[in-house]
Amino acid sequence: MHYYEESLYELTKKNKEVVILTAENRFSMRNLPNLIGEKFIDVGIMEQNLVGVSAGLSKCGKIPIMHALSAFLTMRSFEFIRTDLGYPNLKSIIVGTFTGFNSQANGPTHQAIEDIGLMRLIPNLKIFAPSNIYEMCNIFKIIDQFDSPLYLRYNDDTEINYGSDVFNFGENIKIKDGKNIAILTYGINLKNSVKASELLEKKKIFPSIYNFRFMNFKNDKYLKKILNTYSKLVVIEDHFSNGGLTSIVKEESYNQKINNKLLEINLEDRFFKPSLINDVLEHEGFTPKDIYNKILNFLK
Amino acid sequence: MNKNKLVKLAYESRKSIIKMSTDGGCFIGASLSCVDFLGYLYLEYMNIEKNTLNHPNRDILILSKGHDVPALYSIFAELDFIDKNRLKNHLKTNDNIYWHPNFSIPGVEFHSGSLGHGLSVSIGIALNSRIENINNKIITILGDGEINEGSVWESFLLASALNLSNLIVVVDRNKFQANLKTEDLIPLEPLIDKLKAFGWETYECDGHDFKSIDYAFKKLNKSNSNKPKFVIAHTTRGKGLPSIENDPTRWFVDFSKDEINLLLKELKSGIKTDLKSKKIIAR
Repeated sequence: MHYYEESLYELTKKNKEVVILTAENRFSMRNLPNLIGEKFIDVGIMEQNLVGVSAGLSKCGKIPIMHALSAFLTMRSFEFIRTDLGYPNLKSIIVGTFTGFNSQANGPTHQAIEDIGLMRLIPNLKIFAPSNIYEMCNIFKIIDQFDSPLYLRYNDDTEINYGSDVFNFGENIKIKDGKNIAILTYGINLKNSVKASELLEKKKIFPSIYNFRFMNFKNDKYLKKILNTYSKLVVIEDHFSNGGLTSIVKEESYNQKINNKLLEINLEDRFFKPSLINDVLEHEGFTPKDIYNKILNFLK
Repeated sequence: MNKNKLVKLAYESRKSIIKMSTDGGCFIGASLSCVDFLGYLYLEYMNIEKNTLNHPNRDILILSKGHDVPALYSIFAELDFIDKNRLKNHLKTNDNIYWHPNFSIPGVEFHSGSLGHGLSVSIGIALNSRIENINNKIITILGDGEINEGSVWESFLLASALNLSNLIVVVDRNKFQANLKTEDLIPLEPLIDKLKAFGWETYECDGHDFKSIDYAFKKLNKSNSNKPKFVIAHTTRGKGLPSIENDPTRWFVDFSKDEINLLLKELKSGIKTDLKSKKIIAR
């Protein structure tokens, strides 16, 4: 059984209010329908209704977990998420799959590369963008720690296990301690940032690396502290330059009147070349070697 | 069915709707078209009253076509869900009584205003009832213009696929959308056949005739099928005020105080008023 599916199953056993919904996107939860019966609801290919139905369930005290392709879930259903979950602040988890580079060769229709930006516009909604499957599924162990809608940027990478120990809701973390320069990233770019830092160490450059998995928290003291600690920042994300972590860092720098040097590694305003994941990373300049070279250049 | 009580409820509610049509105004036409069957549902049909507004087994009504909320609030005032004096707060910042429903008002189950949301929310509520073995009815009021929205057709498919027999849709078939007749813009007919083809059990009634409404809902109650129920309530936009009935320019109105007094007389006499206030107000 897929670890994600297993985690959801465990959650439904522990918490009788949890209901799992999908818009016919069952790839990582093929066994769930038989295991949880009427607590599994497949609405078919209709993302707007997926969210509307979830709002009705949440209004009645259920905790709906919606599972669908992020590009369709966050864009086609945007108004439903904003109006029916965000405005009334209904507890729910919006799981967007195939996010960022993970949509691989599907092409621009499937590229969720503005999802963080869109979700960040919604009052009350919080964002969680884990770097691997263990970190992702730990959120299900702490669902009592929040009462609002949560957007989960699905990531089932099993190569790394940062965040596999239980953490608190909203807690971001430094996974590598360095000096002068900090890399802020989330999701699939975390592991390549770590690999890039290993290359940099050979050049006696020691960046700190922050796993910025939680976003959209007001008065983010952790970010303020980072901005005040490092004179040089690198923000890496498989997202447009607008709206995501890059924007969060810029906005907070402006608010704090801090003029850090910033290296942005993101998609700027372009859709990425559809291909298999490693080829995408190479084509778009997100491999460890690319990150290493960009940081070296930045420090010149 | 207590017809006298229903007639009084509808008459008093119409008076309140007219009084909300000044000082900023409201969507009067759609409010007057649904007020009779809405009054029937709350007074005669639904299992809900002032002291059960939060009871887990209550029947639930979602007003998906939210712009007719003056009808809902007027009925709530008559049934004492809210203090009637609150209607005087219409559009004031000291309350939440604005052009669309807000869930902070007792009796409002879910906020609405954006068309095409209410039925999917109702499906979620109906599913909760199924999971929890609650034997209640979930009623959604749709506007006929609202049925243009694609999400409504998603919901028609979904409710049928899920066999939600406790789900009832009532369409306020006043045959107008904002500016035009529905059949002149996006024709809906034959609507009943469409819903039948979608797997719904269908009913029709005269949405201003309590006997006809009662007949349809009593028949619906006898159904043993697992299909969701679709009721077309044939209505007239602006019903009760001949000077604005079926007038496409009186979708949204903002009357003067003098006109309000004249319209209250018109409601009683049925004799048309000479209205001077601006037509076709965009909201």
